[in-house]
Amino acid sequence: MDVNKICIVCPKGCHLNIEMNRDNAFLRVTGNLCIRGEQYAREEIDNPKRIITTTIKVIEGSIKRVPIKTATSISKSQIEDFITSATSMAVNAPVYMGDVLTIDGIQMKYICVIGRTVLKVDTKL
Amino acid sequence: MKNSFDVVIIGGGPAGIAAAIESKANGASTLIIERDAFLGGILNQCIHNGFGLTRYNEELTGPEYAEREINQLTRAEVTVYKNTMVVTIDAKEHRIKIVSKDYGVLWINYTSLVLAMGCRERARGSVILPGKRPAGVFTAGTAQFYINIMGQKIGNTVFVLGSGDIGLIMARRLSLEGCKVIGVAEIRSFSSGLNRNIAQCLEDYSIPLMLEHTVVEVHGDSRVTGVTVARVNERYEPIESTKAFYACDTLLLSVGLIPENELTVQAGIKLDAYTKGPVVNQELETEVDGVFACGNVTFVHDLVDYVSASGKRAGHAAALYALEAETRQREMAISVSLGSNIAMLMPQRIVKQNRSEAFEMMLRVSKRIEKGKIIVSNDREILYTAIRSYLSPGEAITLSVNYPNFNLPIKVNVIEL
Ligand SMILES: Cc1cc2nc3c(=O)[nH]c(=O)nc-3n(C[C@H](O)[C@H](O)[C@H](O)COP(=O)(O)OP(=O)(O)OC[C@H]3O[C@@H](n4cnc5c(N)ncnc54)[C@H](O)[C@@H]3O)c2cc1C
Ligand code: SF4
Repeated sequence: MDVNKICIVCPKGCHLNIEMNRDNAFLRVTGNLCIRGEQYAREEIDNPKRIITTTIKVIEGSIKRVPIKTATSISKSQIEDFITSATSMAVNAPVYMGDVLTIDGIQMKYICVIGRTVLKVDTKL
Repeated sequence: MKNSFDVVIIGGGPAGIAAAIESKANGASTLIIERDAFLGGILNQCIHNGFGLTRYNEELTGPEYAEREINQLTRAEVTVYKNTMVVTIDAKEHRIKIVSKDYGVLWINYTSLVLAMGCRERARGSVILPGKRPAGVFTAGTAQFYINIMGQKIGNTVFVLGSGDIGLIMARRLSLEGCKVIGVAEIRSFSSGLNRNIAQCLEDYSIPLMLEHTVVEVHGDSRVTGVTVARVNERYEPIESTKAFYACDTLLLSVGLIPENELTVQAGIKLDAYTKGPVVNQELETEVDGVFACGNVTFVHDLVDYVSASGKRAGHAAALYALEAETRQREMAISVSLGSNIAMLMPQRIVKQNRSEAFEMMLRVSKRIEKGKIIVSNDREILYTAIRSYLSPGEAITLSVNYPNFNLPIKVNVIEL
């Protein structure tokens, strides 16, 4: 069986045609302009993953929310667990871009990266 | 306080920041003015990733991209006025009027001025949308601000009109935030968003994309209670028999971006009818001596990486102008015009110069073309030609065009093959 997918690895957005064998395992892909497209196609069949971004609350920060992203891509099936766990999360200012943070989910621990420096309220940058 | 600079830049988004760094690096005293409390412009609210693949070879979120740029600006020691709004440009006297929390109202003198005010969203007024005016109708960018910056919820059940990238990205964001996004209606036969956004924002969350559909009525008194959606014919007229009601409490509009040019118009700087940005030459100088423009104020770019590149180009030209202003002679410009299948292009003027062999041109086609031949030419010579596949109005095309040998008007055509 064949599946058609758009490669999301870069803005080119190649149209992938993925061939699978009878056990629905990855066989081969065409339409990708580069090797990253093949890797993406494999993962899409085996275990689709995404980097997820969201915001969490900052206490005493110069802004109310700070953006975070998962350090590596997580399984699509974990997205909901991650978001729910992140919703109840808060950090104290200051936080710096690149700071690492762990969010305890029900399914697993999610390693995240802070995406913006937020100083304490009233500190001048 | 200093009130006179070689180069003054209006707008502290990625375009303005890149212009400032480059201007300073060329030895010009440089000021950047931002009306907001933070630099970074619209990137601060774009928390999704996908920025910087060209510039940094890495996939960054909007705020990460912005912070990297801001850090470079800080190291360059450019003067920055935040919480400061430019209200008037007096291009004749080479000065601008600013209103600031910290400095009050005053005039600043410049030798070169760089416009980097970005773009804004088309609002409800620019789409014809019959019905009442209940609460719950947002532009996608406003929703993005409420959710990502303010941390507020905007509704429970959402319908999206228009399939621009911001709308697609917000459809995903709202789904993650626990809202139900019931559909995205696009009046044309294709989405103006990137393919990857249709895949990762709609398909991942099982949100239907309804092509050749539009919202014909908004229901509700104090709050939206639903929308009527219909299929359209080739003339974009709703087909009566296809009308269907969708219950929702929120309608998101994602119907395009337009350059933010109130200041430009008021300063008497000529706008282009197609890009809706100022008419510029290949060095990004406007028709008014010493006024340059870059980023989304000139042409709504697809990717922020290109916005930064355009900022750098304008910053360079602005600094050179400021440092050479006394000796410069303005040359006759050659006009560039739209031929077949072109929706907009930039630059609209070319001035002869000796610095390089080729200049960069950006354009959008006016319809989808499977395979087309792009030709940039005048009556005597061909300056650029290439065959490209899958041309789409949603994706801007960048060309490297040779300088002409003759002072003749240039025309750009895309011929369907
Ligand atoms: C809502 C929205 C969402 C977007 N999402 C994406 C996205 O996901 N991906 C993407 O690649 N692109 C996105 N874009 C396009 C984005 O605008 C560009 O990628 C890029 O940020 C443009 O940079 P810029 O510097 O030209 O403009 P901006 O980032 O808009 O910066 C312009 C700055 O000028 C300031 N300014 C304006 N007028 C004045 C004045 N009179 N005085 C002082 N300051 C002033 C503004 O406050 C702003 O900070 C989005 C645009 C909008 C409107
Ligand atoms: S296959 Fe390669 S070039 Fe094509 S979208 Fe994927 S990463 Fe980009």
